[in-house]
Amino acid sequence: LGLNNAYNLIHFLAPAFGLLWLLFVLYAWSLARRQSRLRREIEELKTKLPLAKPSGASGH
Amino acid sequence: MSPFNFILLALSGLLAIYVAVRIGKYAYSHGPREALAAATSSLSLHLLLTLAWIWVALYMMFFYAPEEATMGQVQRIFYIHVPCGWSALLGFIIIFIASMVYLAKRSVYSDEVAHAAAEVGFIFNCGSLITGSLWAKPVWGIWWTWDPRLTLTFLLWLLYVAYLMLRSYMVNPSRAANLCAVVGIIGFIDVIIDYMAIRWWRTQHPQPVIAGGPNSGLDPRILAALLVSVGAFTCLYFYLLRLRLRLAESRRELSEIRRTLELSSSEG
Repeated sequence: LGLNNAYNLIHFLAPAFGLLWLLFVLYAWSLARRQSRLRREIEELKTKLPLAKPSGASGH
Repeated sequence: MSPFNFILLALSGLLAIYVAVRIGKYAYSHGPREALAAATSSLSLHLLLTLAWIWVALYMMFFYAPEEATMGQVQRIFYIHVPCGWSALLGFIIIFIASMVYLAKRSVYSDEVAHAAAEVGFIFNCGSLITGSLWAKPVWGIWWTWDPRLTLTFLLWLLYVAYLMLRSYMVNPSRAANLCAVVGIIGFIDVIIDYMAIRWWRTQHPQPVIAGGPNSGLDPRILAALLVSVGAFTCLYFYLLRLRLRLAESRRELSEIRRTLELSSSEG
């Protein structure tokens, strides 16, 4: 690698690739986190559903 | 071993370890049969295809494509900058189509697709602006200039921001969907002008290298690496879009459960 090439590699090429993949990984991680939080909430509420239904039915 | 070779090898190793650990943990908590089913689900196979395609694209960017004579190694940013720009435009094309379908049929799914496409497209648009800036500095000597192509890409970024802000801040979901569909359709004009900008005007940004007329063209190896990379990024775009749609589906399920619970408690 020439001197200019090495400088550009460290200061521009590596940050461009690094930042881009970091952006994708962070976004995928945020999606996975939001998804698992929602799934947890759904599972919690689902446990209340069978209890809620009979009580609703008893009201009629 | 060259630094590129080392980085690719290290990344592959880390990725393989990560996948093995995730599968192992899943098998431990859910059992081997469920782990196998999850590993061979459509989303997992899509992820596998995306990762393999990205790996091939990275290999082609650094080993197959020759070093460009004038710019040297930094020209390799081209192989991620162009696919990012393409995916950002693709995002708005999907928003445009989904918005049209939503306004015509009032389909909730179309609205969800438009919203998901906007979020994923925004990420790729950010990638396009970041990599473009990091490429411009060593080549042009400046990080940014108000050239038509760059300005229109920045305008696209602002449109994505406006679209996502409307989604977040509007209280009435039906009104938000209507307004966002209109923004998605009007904003598509920017996509067309952005694509044509380097064909209509002489700009600081390079003229088109594909479908750009008789004087355009690329070395066949550079073109092959670019096309493989565009394919990999498109595959990644659709993978992230599917993940985002799964999230929307879960949100819908959650609100249905909440509604059922509210109904049950009010009846009780």
